[in-house]
Amino acid sequence: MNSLIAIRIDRRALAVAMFNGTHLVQCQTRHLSSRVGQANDSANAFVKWLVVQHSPQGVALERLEGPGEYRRLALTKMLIEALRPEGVPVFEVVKLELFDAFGCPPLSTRKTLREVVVTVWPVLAAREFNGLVQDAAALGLYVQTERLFSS
Amino acid sequence: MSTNILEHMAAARGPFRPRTTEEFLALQIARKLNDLPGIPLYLKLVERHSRDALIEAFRAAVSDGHTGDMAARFHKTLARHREEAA
Repeated sequence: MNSLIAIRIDRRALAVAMFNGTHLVQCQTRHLSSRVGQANDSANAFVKWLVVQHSPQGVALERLEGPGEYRRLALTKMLIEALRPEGVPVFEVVKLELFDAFGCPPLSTRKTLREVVVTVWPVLAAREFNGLVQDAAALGLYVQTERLFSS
Repeated sequence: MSTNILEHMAAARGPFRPRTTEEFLALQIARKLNDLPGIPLYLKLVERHSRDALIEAFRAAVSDGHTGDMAARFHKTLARHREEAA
């Protein structure tokens, strides 16, 4: 079954959820420096290391659309560029797609999305897993399930 | 387990939030077939059928050349698979 690394990018952290099919196998968070150059280097190296270690058949990222998210947007673009030479397909998903997918009627807040994710994987309620990890898990499950329909 | 799902749906009284990855799959199938009111049925189907059978039936329902009620075609295909397997 296809493996995937889902990454939730924040200004000061990368949260990662790794999937084998729709099975969540591992989660982790990498905190980033407040210094932009150092944070970029660290994020870049971390994602490349993940790809080398796990040889995923895809990487999922959340596509940002809102204003005022310059740092996150820059990090996202940088990571997409870094992944290009690795030859790993990148799946970009907007937040509203996740809200639509995780409820009927669609969800309207990240808080609710995270509540649903913790219901699906109660282990993610543990203190060691923050909201960003829960976002990454939602992103990964969505992309992996979509891939079932298209593969 | 089916009873639990029905209880879950009854308790929800409208809003539905998946509790497992299988329930998430059921919700996506219902969404893609434009049959969200039918979610309780899809929740039962993901228990009764393999994921491969569900995806195959979905593909048959939405394949090129088909128009009209995708959900009906999906259920018809699954029923045919069940008969063939019996």
